[in-house]
Parts: sequence; structure tokens; C-alpha cells
Amino acid sequence: MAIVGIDLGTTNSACGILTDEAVTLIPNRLGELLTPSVVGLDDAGELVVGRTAKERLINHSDRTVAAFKRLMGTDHKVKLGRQLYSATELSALVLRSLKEDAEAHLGEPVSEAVISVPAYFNDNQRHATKLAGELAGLKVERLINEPTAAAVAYGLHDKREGNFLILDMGGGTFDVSILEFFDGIMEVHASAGDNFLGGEDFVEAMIDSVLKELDLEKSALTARQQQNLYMQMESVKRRIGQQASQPLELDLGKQKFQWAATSEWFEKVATPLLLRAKRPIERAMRDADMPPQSIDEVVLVGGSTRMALFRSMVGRMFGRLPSCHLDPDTVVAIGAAIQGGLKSRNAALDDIVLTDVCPYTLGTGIVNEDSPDQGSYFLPIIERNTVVPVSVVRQVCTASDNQTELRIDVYQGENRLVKKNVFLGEMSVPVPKGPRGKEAVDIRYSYDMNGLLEVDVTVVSTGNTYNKLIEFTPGALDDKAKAAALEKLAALKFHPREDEVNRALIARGERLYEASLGPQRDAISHALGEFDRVLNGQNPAEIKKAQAGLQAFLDRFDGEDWI
Amino acid sequence: MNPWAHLGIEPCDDPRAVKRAYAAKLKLNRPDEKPEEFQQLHSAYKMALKLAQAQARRSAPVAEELTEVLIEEPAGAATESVVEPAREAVPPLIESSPQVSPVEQSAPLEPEEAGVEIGSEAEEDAARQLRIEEYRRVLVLVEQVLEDPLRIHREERWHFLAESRYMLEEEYNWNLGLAVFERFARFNQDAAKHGGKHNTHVTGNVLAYCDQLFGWSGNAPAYYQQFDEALADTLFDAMQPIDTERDPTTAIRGGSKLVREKPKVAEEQLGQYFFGSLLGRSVAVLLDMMLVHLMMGVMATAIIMKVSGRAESDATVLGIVVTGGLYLVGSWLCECSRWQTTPGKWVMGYKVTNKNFQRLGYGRGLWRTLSFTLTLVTYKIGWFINCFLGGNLMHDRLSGTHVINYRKSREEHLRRQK
Repeated sequence: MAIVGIDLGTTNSACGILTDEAVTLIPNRLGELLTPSVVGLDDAGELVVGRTAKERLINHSDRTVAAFKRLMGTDHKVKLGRQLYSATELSALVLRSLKEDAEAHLGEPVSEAVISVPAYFNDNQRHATKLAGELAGLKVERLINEPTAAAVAYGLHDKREGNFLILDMGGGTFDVSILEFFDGIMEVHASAGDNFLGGEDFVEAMIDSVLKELDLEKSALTARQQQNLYMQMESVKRRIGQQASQPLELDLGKQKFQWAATSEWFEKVATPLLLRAKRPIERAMRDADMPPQSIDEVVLVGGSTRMALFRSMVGRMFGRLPSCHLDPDTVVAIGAAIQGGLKSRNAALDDIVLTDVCPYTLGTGIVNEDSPDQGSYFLPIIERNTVVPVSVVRQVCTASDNQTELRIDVYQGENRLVKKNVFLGEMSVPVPKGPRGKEAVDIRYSYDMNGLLEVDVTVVSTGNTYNKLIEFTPGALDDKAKAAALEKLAALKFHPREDEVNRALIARGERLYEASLGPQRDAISHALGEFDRVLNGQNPAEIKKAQAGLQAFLDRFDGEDWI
Repeated sequence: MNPWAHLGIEPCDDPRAVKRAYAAKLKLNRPDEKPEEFQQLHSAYKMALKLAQAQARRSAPVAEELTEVLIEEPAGAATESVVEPAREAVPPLIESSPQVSPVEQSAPLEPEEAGVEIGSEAEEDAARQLRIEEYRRVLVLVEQVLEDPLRIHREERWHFLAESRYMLEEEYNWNLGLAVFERFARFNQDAAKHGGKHNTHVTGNVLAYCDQLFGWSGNAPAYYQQFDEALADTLFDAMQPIDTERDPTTAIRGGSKLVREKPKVAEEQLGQYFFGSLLGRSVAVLLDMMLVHLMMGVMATAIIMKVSGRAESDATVLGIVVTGGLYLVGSWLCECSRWQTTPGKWVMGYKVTNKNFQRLGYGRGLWRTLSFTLTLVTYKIGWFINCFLGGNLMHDRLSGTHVINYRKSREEHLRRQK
């Protein structure tokens, strides 16, 4: 059975599969290759995922949610209707939708997948992604880093050798990876990134700026006005490269404003974010010990790299034009699908080996006698950008006399003080009593190909080994909670697949109806009524015709390209 | 370890040959199938690659080496181009003469950066002059905000830095970063010198924000070279790590509500539980009673004496009754709390749990306290029976709760876990 590759994005998701040498991207129920990562419930309490849900985001924002990937691996939950959903559960619903599409397309059950994650995702976020796969009924064969997946796709496509710098800016995250290709080997030298930098942040900054200039508070806007503003800003962001000034009519608070979105304004808003994007690029080059001259090609991945400002910044940094001849929206899914093929040992890929690195330094806390008020020192065990899989042992000893228990904390980060790093978990092991420094334990950190960490502790004198981490991982579930989550998600049902086109059209029509006034509104209302009548007639040929008609009709009114 | 033997080739000075050998071996030692062999192979490869490169440099003829150096020189310089101009010229605190302004000394600006066609030197100078003016304007603003102690810690007060027109240009950004860094560092040093708890200084959040704009921490070595160590330390130590600052809920669209659930501490499952002994529990109760009495009972006695004018012995009896009541309420609240234990029981290492060895609800805890009061009434008979119940006393059984010897259970659990 084949393994599908899934790009589970902040804004859009996609799914591909490798069949005899070529990757096919799997179309969803609407026949599109990209499925917006939006989940909602309709008025009947049934599940809506993808474009239909995105259309409903404005008018039904209390029952629809987007961009929840940010919340992966945290303990935040989103309320839809009456229930609370974690980001893991919401992602599971997107994955389930993709899985059903793949099954319909391939005509066979799909139960295994390679899922891509941002390279800079931490342990908690990776665990959450893996769990989302399980909740969707997918065995996650591998978590692949998004820039690595993109590089795999480029590497196989171009068959060029040399050093590649991959810049992956999606909806919510920014990743940088430096790879070298030679003789069928794809070696990642360094990865860096920013988990809070993506297209959504540019839109958010634009919204903040508009509200500030008009002297309005976000809380003064209704939910619908907020979503509408978000949609308008998303459209502006996409067009700003071609159109220097875009006149807008903003409906905010109790009045309407005329507003011109100019490229100078956008540049001002985007500058802090672009400067932030430079930091990981510099760091990755430092870590890989590669100056800009030794980079043979700069590759852009992710929808947000379409921004002209971003491109010109990259162009200035490297003194050349970056390449992006593969679709930046789907290249990660292609790479993930290739990794799926690698995993199932597809014969076409026998000659290819991929090696990756861990993006974070992992370590433990040790007693700080120099400045106790600052908290423990961080003892790095696995340095960042070490090639994985890797297993490293460090020895630590007791710090006080007659200590009977030794606590090992697991941290991730780059600061010399643990309090400035991310806490991952802890474990206590008993040690025989003795004077300080006499008893020692070996701490072994093992980091696997998925970027998941395991910790073993061996007491040197007794030889006892412990490996049960008491996890405080936000978002992690024990078996009971997992069963409950599965049950909760199973209760949510999709509509029949063949209805989806109609539902997406109606959702779009309703959005446009609410956005327009006067005769336009009447026309839309009339068209929707007509469409309903055809649907009730249940004549497939007529429905097909009516779909095309309504599509063309709605296109006339829709000035936004935000989907 | 001999890296060459690992790779299966003779020592050589050709990095390409090393890579080829590594590639061939790697296909037999895939990282996901043979992780340990892979690690060894990879470190052998890295070492061999270094050796080969060093060898190649050494054995290359002098002339070739020279050209290589010549070729590499500009490359090396270019990577540090951002550092170079600054090392030459520290922006003085007060610009007395525009000639030494670092912007002027920086490399010529690329035409497309300036956004105008720079045909002649005059235009180039004009473009540069614009940047110098902007640089000064921003620094004046910096001084102004530094003088305003009430707003200095507010990040939005510093947003003007990012809005400066040429921030995306390397040289401008680098020089402004240096100047701002120096002003901040001196300001904080002065503030520390004057001491006091309420001294105003540039706070960690502001530093973190500026770090994103100027990339201070990324270029820390250059800064340490530029400024004396103590000065650079004042800012680098105070800087907050960026990742912990961010709020993941920004840019989440839709949903009727965002809720943060407190992380549930995974209930620790111990393999075996030991009940608290009757003796230990009696001691715990006595300890608790003593504690309550010392804290509240004595005071109650005194108040009763004062208010009702009773004799001390009468008042003491009443005080003890008050102590008993307070003990019951206190133990109920303590046992149902997160700690699941009263101070006395904590001393003994005991915890109170429900039948599944988990934390009690407040309802069940109240029932447990009532059951305890009920069994108290049975007086000696009940106490006598309790002696034969193996630590699982009458009121425990009535209310479906346990008092476990947590310390012993946990030690046993750790001992068995292998």
C-alpha cells in the first residue's frame, strides 16, 4: 500500500502520492489541489472543511476557525458551537478530509502518511502533529521538515548538484534550511526559523496599522467586520506588487471609511517582519559555515514568498534572483510524497538518501553555583544542527550530600540559563546515598528522524535504567483522552462528497449576498434561489449547468482573491 | 578512528572523491535503517572532508594559493561587509562632524536600493546625505524617548525605529543598530550606577524588539569586539529570549472563543500503593491539631476569656472545641487541594486519594470529613475497631477514600522501575 505525503499548512493543505517515478497531487472533492486549512460546523452541526468553510469564515466566524496550526502543541483550545477543540483535533479533521479525498482518488484505503512540519517545530508541536495523524486514522510514517521536503522536490526535479538555501515562508511559519546535493545524497547542513512569522502576521500587522491610523480599537469591531477586514487586507497583500495603490471601502465600527492602501504604507508595515526574517537566514548561514557566495541557488517555497518585498530583500541579500519554478504552494506536498515513496522503498528512489539535522539544542539543567538566583545552567547534550538520528550521552553527578533522588529536566533552546529555554519534561531517578559528587548518572538523549526526542537515564553505580519521562507536554493525550477525542471527532460527519461543489457555491453566494447592497443583493438572492430550485429538481445534467452558471455569475461580483 | 578506513578510500586531497566515497557508503548505511553506523560514517566523512580540504590547501602550489587567496579575499570580506564599516567607525555619541558619520564611510549604496538611478557622484552624495539626515533624526527621537521614564518600557513607543525609511538597507540598519545599542547600554549602565529600585532602564521586552530589528544577538561577537565587554554585557544579559514572548493566539481567525486549558499534570501511576498506618495517621492528626491550636485555638481562648469573662480553664475547653472545628474544615480543604495532604500528613509523607488513587473532589472530601466526625462519636469502640482495619479506617471505608503512604509507595515504585 502506498504512503501519501501531506503538507499540513497554516493556510492551505495539500496531499500527493508517488506512483512509478512521478508525483501526483491529489485533487480534493472540489477538484482543487489546495484545501484551505479551515474547519467549521454548519447550521446542522455537520462538518465543513476547506473552501466551503473558508467562505463561511466571515458570516459564521463563531462556528468556523482558520490558522489554528499556530496553536499546535499548546494548551489553547478553540470553541466552535458548543464544543472546545484543540488544534490537534482541528488538524485531524483537515487530515481526515484529505485522507477521504485520497481514498476516493486512488480507489483504495489510505492508512499511512508522511506529514510535513515546519523545520523549526519543537518537540511538543511534532508530537501534536503526529497525534493529529493518528486521530485522523493515519499512521504517521515520518514527519518531514517542510524546507527539506521542498528541497527533495527540487533536487529530484532539477537533478542539479551544489548548495541550496531554502526559504520557506508559509501562512504562519518561516523556515530556512541549507542543503547540499551530491551523488544522490541530500544533506541538510543547517536549519533555522521563526515559528511566529508568516503571511498571517503580515495581514495582522496591516490590520493593526489600519486600525491605529483610523483610531479604532479591534474590540469595537463586530466579529464579521473583523473577518471582513482580514479578507480585504489579504487581498491587498496579494495585489500590492502589481497595484501601487488600492482604494478600499472599510466598514468598521459604526461607520465606513475610504482608505487607500499604498505600497509605501505596506512597506512600512512589512519592514519589521522582513527584518525578523533576516535573522534565521543569517543564523543558518553561520551555522552551516557558508557565506552567501557559496550558495549556488536560493529557492523560495510557500505562498508568502510571492510578496515582491520579500523577493527583493532576498535578492539584495544574495545579489541574485531566487528561483521558484515549482509552485511554491504545492512543492512541500510533492516532497512529502517523495519521502513517502522513499519510506516504502520505491525502486525509483533507491539511489537517494536524505539526511537531516535537529534545529534546536537539547539539554538539561545543572546546578548554578555562580548566581543561584538566576536558576540552573543549561547543559547542552545534543547541539543544534547535529545530523540525525543521533544519540548522545552526558554524565552528571549529585550536587549535595546524601541525595537520594536526582531530577533530570529536559530543555530545548540556546540560552545558557534554563529559565530562558523551553521546558519539555522531567524525570526523577533514585540514587544511592553518598557524599556529593560520588553518584553519577548517564543521561542519554536520542533524537530520531522525525525530530522526536527520547531520554534514558542510567545510574552508574547500580546500572538501573529509567526512561519514563513525566510529561507536562501541553496538548499531549493519554490513552483514555485519545479514545475520548476519537469519539468526539467520529461524531462529526462530512456531507456526501458529491454535494460539496454545491455547498461551496452556496457558501460563496451567501458571503457575497451579505457583502453587497441594493440591486446587486437582490440579484444574488435571486440567483441563489434559482440554484436551489435546480438542486431540488435532482436532474444531474441541469445541476451541472446551473453550477457553471452560478460560478460565472458570482465571479462578476467577487472582487476579492483571498482564497 | 581513521576516517579513511571508514570511507574505504586512501587518504587524498580531493573533497570530491571523499564525497563520492561517502555517497556510496551511505546508500548501504541509511540513517533510518542503521542509525549507529550512519553516525560513525557521517563523522568520518566530516573529518575526512576537513583533512582533504586542508591537504589540498597545503599541497597547492604557491602561485595557485595566492590566486585562491585573492579570490577568497573579497568573498570573505563581503560576508562581513555589514561588520566592516562599523569596526572602523564607532558612531560618536554626539555627531560633531558629519564627515565621521558611519553611514558615509559605508560601501556605496546599490542603485536599486536607493530606488533612484544614481548616475553621478552628486546624486550618490545626495542619496547618502538623505540617509545621514534620517540617521540623525532617528537618534534624536531615541534620546527623547530615553528621557521619558514613564514610557521607556513600552514597546510601541519604539516602533518608530522600524518605520525609519532605510531600515531594510544593510549598512543603514547596521550603523543605526550600533548607535542605538550604544545609547541603550550607556543609559542602562548609568541607571544601574545610580542604583535604587525604581531606576528607569531599557527593559528586556524593548531590547527583544530591537534585537529583531537589528539582529544584535546574532552578531554578538561583533558587538563584543566593538564595545567593551561590561557595556555589551549590560544589554545582552537583560535581553529576553524572543520565542517566549510571542502569543500563539494572534492571527487565529474565527472561533467563538479561545480558551486556555491549564496543562494537566499527568497523574503519576504508581505500581503499588501502601496505606498509611494507624499510628502514623494518629501522629499526623495530633500534629495538625497542634498546629491549628497554636495558630488559632490559643487566640480563640484569649478572645473567649476577654469577651465572656470566663475562667481560663473553661475558656481553654471552648478553645479546644474551636480548634476541633477548624481542624475539620481545614483538613477538608487541604485534602482536596492540589497537594492532597494536610501539613501533618505531609510530614508523614501521606496523601489522601479517592478509590482510584486520584485527587478527591470537594464533595467527596466533605463526606469524608463528615464520616470522620461520625466515627468520632463511636468513641472507644470505634477506635478499637480501627486498630484492626489495616490502615483503611472506618471513615475511609464509609467515604470511599484512601490515605496512602505516598513517600513509601513512590520509593518502592522507583526501585521497581527498571
